[in-house]
Amino acid sequence: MSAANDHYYIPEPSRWPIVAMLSVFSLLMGAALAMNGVGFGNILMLIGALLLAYMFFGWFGDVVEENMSGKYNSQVDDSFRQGMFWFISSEIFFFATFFGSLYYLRNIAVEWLGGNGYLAPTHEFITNQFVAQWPTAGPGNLGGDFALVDTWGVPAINTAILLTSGLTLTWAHWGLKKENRQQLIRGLVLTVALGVIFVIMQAEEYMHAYGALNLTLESGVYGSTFYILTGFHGFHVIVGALMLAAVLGRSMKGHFSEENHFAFEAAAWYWHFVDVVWLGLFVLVYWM
Amino acid sequence: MGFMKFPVLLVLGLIILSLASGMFFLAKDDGKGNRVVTSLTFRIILSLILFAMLIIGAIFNVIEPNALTPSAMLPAK
Repeated sequence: MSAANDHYYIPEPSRWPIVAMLSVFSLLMGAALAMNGVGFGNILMLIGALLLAYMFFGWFGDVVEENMSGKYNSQVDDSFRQGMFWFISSEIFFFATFFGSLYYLRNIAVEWLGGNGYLAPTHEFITNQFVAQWPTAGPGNLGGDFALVDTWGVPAINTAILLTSGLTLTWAHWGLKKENRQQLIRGLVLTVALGVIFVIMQAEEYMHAYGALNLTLESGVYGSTFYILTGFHGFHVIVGALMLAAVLGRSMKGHFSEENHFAFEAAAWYWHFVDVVWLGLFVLVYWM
Repeated sequence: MGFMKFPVLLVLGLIILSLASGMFFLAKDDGKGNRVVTSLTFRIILSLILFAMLIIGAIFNVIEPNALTPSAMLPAK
């Protein structure tokens, strides 16, 4: 990034926004068709996903190339930081919605059904055999009896894995700040590897929960909130690991310096964010 | 979780605060200085403390993880 550049860089007309639109459209249309049992829905989804990957690769590649050729001044850098800030704000609201619904269900809706609070008459007339408690599948016991995932099993191990990945990432971050490229690269490799292990363990755990524990998406409010929260978190771990893998590739090429490393810091912060969401989940879902 | 709820939630709050300050410095400092990495270092240290609190609390039976209380539906009277 050259400070001598005093005008704000405006790129040439680009094909990427149109590719992005087409990829998202095919992905969502394919998903909608697949859910309704239309045969080519899956293929359309796959095409959409491939297009999306191509778009990210190409578009980000262009941005990296523009950055490396010194087209950006400090104002463009500011725009990136602002963009990251607003992206993260939307992520916070996204997770706040799910944590909020967990709170509402546990402390308000289930209490009403159990005969406490403002809508207590519901209990008297409709759900009079229901005892308010958490976890619950609700008064209808939807999805049948289920068992809980053992907190000391995969959830605790996965917490340790994510915390360790937070440590290795912080170690890499200090490496970058001290211009120690080897430390940066080693730390990133470890972090990405730990992220991959986390996702594999989580997938195993879902299979166990769906099979042996009969804890499914249909297990009333507990099942749906459990899978929505942990599932979207898992998805974010995948995204974060991809971001860090890209940053690792760029670190190997020597793209970052002590003062010019916004991509690293943005991806690293994102990883810390995903880690904190997991801690919130671990405490609120498994302990309270 | 009883009374241990409060220290646990307090540390969780501090973790979120250190993470948020990291975001603030990320947007403000233009990559200069060590304020981002310092905030995130606090974040990870506090998280390790939280995890240790849960484990030690469980070992000494001050806190325990969720367990399923049997039968949501009581038999009809």
